[in-house]
Amino acid sequence: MSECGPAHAAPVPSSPPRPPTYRRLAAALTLGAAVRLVLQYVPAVAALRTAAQSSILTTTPLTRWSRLQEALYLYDRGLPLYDNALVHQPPLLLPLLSVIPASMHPLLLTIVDTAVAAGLATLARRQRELEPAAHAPIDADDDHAEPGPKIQGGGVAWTPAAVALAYLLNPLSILSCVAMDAGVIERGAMIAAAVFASGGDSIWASGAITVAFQMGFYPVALAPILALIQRRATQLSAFGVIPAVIISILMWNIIFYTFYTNVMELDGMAVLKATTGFVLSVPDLQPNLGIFWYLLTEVFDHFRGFFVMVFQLHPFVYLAPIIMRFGRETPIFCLTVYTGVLATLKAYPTVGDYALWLGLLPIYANTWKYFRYPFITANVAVYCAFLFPIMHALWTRFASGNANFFYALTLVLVLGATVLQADCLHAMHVRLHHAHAYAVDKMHAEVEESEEVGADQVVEGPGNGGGRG
Amino acid sequence: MLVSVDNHLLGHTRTNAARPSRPPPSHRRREHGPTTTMTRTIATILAVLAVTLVLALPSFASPPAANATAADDATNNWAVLVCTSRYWFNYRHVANTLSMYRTVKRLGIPDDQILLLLADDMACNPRNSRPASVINNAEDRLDLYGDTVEVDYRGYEVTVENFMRLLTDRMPEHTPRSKRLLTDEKSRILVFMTGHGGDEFLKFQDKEELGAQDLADAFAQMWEKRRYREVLFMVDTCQANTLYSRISAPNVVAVGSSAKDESSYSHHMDMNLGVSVIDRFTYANLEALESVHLASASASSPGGLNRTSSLADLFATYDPVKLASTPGVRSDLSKRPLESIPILDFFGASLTGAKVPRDEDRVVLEARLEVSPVPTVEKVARPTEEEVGESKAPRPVGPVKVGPASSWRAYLHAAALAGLVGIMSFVTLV
Repeated sequence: MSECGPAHAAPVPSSPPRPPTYRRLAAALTLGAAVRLVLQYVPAVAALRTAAQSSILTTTPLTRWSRLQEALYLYDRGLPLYDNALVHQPPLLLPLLSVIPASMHPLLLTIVDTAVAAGLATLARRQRELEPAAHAPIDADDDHAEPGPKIQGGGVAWTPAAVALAYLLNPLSILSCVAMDAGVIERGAMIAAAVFASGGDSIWASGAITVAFQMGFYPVALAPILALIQRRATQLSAFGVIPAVIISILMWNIIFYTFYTNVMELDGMAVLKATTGFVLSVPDLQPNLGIFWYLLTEVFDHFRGFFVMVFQLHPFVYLAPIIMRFGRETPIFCLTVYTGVLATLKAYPTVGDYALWLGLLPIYANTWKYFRYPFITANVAVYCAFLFPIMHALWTRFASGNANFFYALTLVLVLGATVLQADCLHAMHVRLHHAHAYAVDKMHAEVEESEEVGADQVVEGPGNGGGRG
Repeated sequence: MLVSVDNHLLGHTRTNAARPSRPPPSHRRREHGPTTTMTRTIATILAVLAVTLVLALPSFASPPAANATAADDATNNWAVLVCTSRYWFNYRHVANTLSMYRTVKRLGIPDDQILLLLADDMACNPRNSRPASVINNAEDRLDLYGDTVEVDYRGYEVTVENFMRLLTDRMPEHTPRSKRLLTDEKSRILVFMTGHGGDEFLKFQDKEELGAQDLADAFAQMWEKRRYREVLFMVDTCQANTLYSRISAPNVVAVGSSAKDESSYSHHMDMNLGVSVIDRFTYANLEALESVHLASASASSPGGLNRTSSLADLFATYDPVKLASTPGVRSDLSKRPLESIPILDFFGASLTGAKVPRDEDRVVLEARLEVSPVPTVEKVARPTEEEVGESKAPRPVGPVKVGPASSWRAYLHAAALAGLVGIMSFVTLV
């Protein structure tokens, strides 16, 4: 607005654009991996390892590593894998875990966690190109900012390396890795699927999300979001990618199940019942971070099916509204939001699910200034972080509290997470609104300018700045 | 040149032409006149009634009347022996029940088919000067308790609810078989109850009462559910005859120890124990039944019963003077007259050896040795190990022999997975 004459394009850099350096990212990944390896292998912290590996906050009956070890034992001896009520992981992991010696399993998990961080960094970098609407300038200062890969928010300039570091140094994700939670692999598959989708590859994206789906059931909800990410990446115009991804996931499932029944000689029905059937019917009511177990211990058997059905439908009802509102322009934001929805509302959550969600949040750091309740959210996070282990110990170890203490905290956690979700959605909505308002103002201003200048003078439309469609 | 701002940012403006117009709703519904509505209502009610009748039809069919012509139609015998009294001074009721238990066991009812309900434990009562034993005769050394007594309901489990549930078999699925009356339509059941009773009630545990109507309802249910062929219902309490007054189910013979407003008395007391050890009515029954030998057709004592005696003979041995009460019998519901019901039909097993006829026309053959000229070795076609294993991995049965860990399977599967990945990359590239 302040300049006259034809609008300039973005400031032309003096030198040809530098290839992106990965030095900072490599440093961040190395630091994160080093922290994890130290905690996993140094004998001095063995007590932390034991505590984490048996804690119900970091592991669940679905993902506990001891159950995977049981499965490995049975698998190595050719015994039936799912005749017990212990093993709930798909047989897909077992060949790989069996080939890799057991002492290197923590290293494997560290590598996967580091890959998750690298995937987050990749998503952050690609998001810059894929979601211009999320980076549309909201005022004149923003308009002239250097379009680097940095996102300003919370007083920090978030580069992809910073995003990776934030995830890697998050104590929740470190705990999750030290606790040998199989969910680390599940989250790795989820992020791999997102990275593949953002690169335009739908077959590997659906393959990765199928692996995540078989490990826990909920990642299947991300299928439409991945389709939309892929759509933005490849600039396909139709929403028909959603059925295409769902069909691809079906195809991958058929491939995997054929592999189980023919090559691994397992009973496909037993695998399905033990993995997906376990998550869907929630038979194991060990306490965890989630809200299923307490309610399902109290419900009468006659109504159990109804309650379980409603609880399982719940995470999926938010899919349509979020996609309708944010799916077209900002599907990676949908992914961020939905990771949070799943972490809160799934049947067997762990701290790692929350860690992944918190790791995706910095990608949208430029919306943080529109948060309405950061104080509440921060306090709830601190309360829960301290009180969860205390209340669990009061209940189980000292017998001076009861289950209600712990259950109350799960409710508080869900409340805080929901407040944060609402804040994220609101902040993104407000930012988009501001960006749109700025674009419209700019457009009107330039129309007036062109009218002032004269009808003959062809004005190059302000196609370079402003809201890019 | 306008900047192409996305529609959703502008608030989803759509052209009206895109929306299809609604058809006018005027001709959607016909007006129904009052007569058609009435017809419709009547037709619906009739249809509902017809459907209900058709569905309810099977319940109108009465259960087939039991033809009591052949006494061999019943195939099994059960006994439900109930003592409903608690506390040391009701020792005699436990002794009554244990005496009947011993008698029916002796005469052939298997222990699995006897349900013994004792409301209190006299044998291990601290006041019992003969610990771990229960007697029914002061001059006797017979220990009724012993080592082979199987009490199915003990102590506080003997309640009216449990008794009713036992009779009607309305029990949770996990109830053990020893606590259930698993009778069928070919069963004969002896139900013996003793304790304190009154006018149309029987007291359980000093806490609750079983009413005569409830008992009658239980028998009616049992008949509807075809849970018995015949029942002999014996009661030894005060005013016992009132307890069976309301039974209406068929094939029930009932006998009680005393009439309305009469008490049933104990027989004698043991001076060492300090309590009465048997009741007069049960004592009379034991006198009659203990003279029955399964082995011989004659009675052990003159004037006693033998194995071919009938219920009428048993009831005829009751002497109201000795009992000091008037025993009552109810046989109006029974299809067979009392004279033709052997006592072993209820107190022993139905199928005694006497009822199975001897193979009189048996042909005696000589032993012959069949020798085939050429011994042929028959090849039994058995599925080979490979054939079985190919279809599906065999499920190990029983304790599984855990062999050593072998990793070739893991390498094979990992290689297969790698091959899968390779194929999929090929597909994506092409």
